[in-house]
Amino acid sequence: MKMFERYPFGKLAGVLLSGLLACTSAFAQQPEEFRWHGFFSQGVVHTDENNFFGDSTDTSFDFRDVGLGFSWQPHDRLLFSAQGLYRDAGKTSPNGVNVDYALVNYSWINRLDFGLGLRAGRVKNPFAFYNETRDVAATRPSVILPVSIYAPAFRDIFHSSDSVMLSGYKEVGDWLINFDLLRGEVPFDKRSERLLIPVPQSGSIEDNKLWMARSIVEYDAGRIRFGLTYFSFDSRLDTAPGLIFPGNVNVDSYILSFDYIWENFQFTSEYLRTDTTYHDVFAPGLNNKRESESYYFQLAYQLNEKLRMFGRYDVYYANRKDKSGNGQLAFGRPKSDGFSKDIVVGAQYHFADNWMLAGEVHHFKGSASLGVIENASASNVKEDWNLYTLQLSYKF
Amino acid sequence: MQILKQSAHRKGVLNVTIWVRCLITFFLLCAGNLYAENQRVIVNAGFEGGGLSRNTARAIFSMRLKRWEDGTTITVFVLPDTHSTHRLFTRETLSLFPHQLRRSWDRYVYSGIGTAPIEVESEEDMVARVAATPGSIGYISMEVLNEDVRTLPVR
Repeated sequence: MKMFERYPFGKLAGVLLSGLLACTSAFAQQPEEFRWHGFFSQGVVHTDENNFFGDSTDTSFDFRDVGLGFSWQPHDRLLFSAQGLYRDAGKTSPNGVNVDYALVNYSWINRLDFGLGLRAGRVKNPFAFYNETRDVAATRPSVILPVSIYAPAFRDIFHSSDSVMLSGYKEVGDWLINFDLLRGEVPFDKRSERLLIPVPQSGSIEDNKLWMARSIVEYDAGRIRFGLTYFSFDSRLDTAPGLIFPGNVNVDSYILSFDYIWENFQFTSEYLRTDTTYHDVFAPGLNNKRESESYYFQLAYQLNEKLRMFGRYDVYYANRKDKSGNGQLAFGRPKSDGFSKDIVVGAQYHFADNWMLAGEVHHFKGSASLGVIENASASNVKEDWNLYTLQLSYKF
Repeated sequence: MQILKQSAHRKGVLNVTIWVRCLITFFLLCAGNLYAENQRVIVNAGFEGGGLSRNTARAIFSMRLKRWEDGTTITVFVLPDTHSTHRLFTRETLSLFPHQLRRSWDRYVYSGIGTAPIEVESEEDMVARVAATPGSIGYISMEVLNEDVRTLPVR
């Protein structure tokens, strides 16, 4: 049960899952009440400069996701589900098995025009369009999600949480208004905690609280979708005074999302603004606030039922008031860590039921989307670089 | 005179061509509609309702609506994504792309907040499963020859 050792909640989930599995074999009369699902993907990444998901300048195969999960519906209104995830993304997310989600869903109201339900446990965060299924290759529009909004480094903090969630929908004519409200906490570990500690000094993130609210409004069963996400994260940084001091870390984000399907074309765009504030951390009494800004535009074309092609322009600024990244020098990083502009073209080929082969070519200007941990030597970081990736995936 | 006659003749030929084209278009449109009507939504014979609106059919097949009005669970059967009947049903009856349905199911399954429909291999299997499962729904393109299954109009 190594997979459940990571967090105290994980242990609880482990006990819960074992219990559920035992109950299921005893009570499942109809096979449809209990169902397995899973997915796997293996990618290869090559970069001409800088490292992305492993030693990619030498071509890296450290790009793998394996998920296995189940759902169990013992009652009309009750659904238990859980998914374990093994993931390897170089040093950005080192090898490991995690409880991706483990939750109970209660469907309170489920009419055509109105629905309301409650969820509790480890849930996938309702964040923009793709977060909830970001590790399932077949659900992504590309091999690598737009790094501006779905930064690989921050995935480990904000992809799921131990929360209580209220979800529902309301139909108004041809429009469907979906909404999710979440209150919970981020299950940190020693490694993901480091992502919020700005300098190499020992410390821990304590008493964290996460709030999230999202609404996605759909027209004509999702032909047009508008989304608005807001999230707020508060925590305390506990450390002995040194390079930095004990204080509070707050992250506030909002995301606008838009998706439009017209014939065989699909246009998608999202905008994210994140304010990260360190209170007292850099000096007692000082508030250090960084406003990052990201957006992408993506156009996809479905040639036939098997082949889809897309192009995207993806932009990220670590500090929107310092777009050339001068401020990065103070942290011993190159200026190019302050921004990332990515032009990408790619294709997805569904060559058999449940199977997909996808590939894409990226041209990057800026190094902000790289994991610092994989590109520790600032003098080796290059501003202009190209990335080539191929990925084979399967799901059931 | 000769010239006038010729031009009148040409005009007649042109009119016939246009008319034939219109006729062909008309038949193609009819054929298209007949094709559409060939997609039948089927339910277990225990179902007592009259018909479904397209909105309700969409809500059911996208797995958002999980219960019938009387509170019983809806069990949804579908054919594989690449099956021609599935593609026609999705396009003609639901006016959706198959990948739109898939997007919705994937979100439910891989984030643990719902389930996907149950996939059957063939239309024969579809009829057999709907016949055997109270509260179930599916679709086929062939005649229904099973008294435990009935068709349901979608308006």
